[in-house]
Amino acid sequence: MEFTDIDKNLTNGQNMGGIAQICYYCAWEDVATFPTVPATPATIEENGVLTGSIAMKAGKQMRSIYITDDTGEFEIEPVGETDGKSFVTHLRFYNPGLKAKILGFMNWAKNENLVFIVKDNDGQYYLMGDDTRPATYAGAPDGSGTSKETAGRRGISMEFVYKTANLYAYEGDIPLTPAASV
Amino acid sequence: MWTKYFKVVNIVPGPVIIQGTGTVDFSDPTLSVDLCQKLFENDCRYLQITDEGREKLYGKTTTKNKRAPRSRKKN
Repeated sequence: MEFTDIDKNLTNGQNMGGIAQICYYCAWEDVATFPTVPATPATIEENGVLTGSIAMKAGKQMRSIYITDDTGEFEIEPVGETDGKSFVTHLRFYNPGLKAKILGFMNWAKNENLVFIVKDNDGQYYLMGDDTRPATYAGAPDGSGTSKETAGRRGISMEFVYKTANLYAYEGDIPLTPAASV
Repeated sequence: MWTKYFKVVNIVPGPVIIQGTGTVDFSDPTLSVDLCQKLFENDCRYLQITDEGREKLYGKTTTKNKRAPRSRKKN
């Protein structure tokens, strides 16, 4: 692998924090193939990007979840002992309303294996899930329910975690229409 | 219309977020041919070129499988 200087590297000076108000999810079992990790990257940049796109099983697609602004976060947590380092990525967000749709999603997702695609406010995407490990539900970091005050908000906060050996940007597609049977 | 030149494959025609391009709705008959051609040339796995597209956009004629003419039996 060829090493290079790592400069400030901000496109047009952009570096806004946070994530977009939409993220995408599917059941891990509905994925036909995942993008691949770099096997023999020529540069350190190639070593940080997945190759290819997620492909769904016939009849399956990715779906979106609305996120209340400034509640969404994609966090990278380094974990592990010496010679055993890896990462846990965390997706946290809040969905307002406490309506049947989000309750039903929670009922399904709490013990399910999932995949998420998260877009940050700089336009870069992250895939949570691979052919070995899914993203899983971890809790409600900002609480869930009706709030106490009338000035509060009703809704559900959620956290999903994905354990991964390495970190990659995702440059593939997001299919929002069902895959066709071959 | 772009659907003369490209066929949608691998998905039911509908929206896909394609990075660098945005959301492309492959069920929209008004997509521009230029966009579809650009996606096709970037190895978009949802588009397959038709014979008409190959001919119109790349000037290549399709060689169809022609049967060898049957030899007539002489009576």
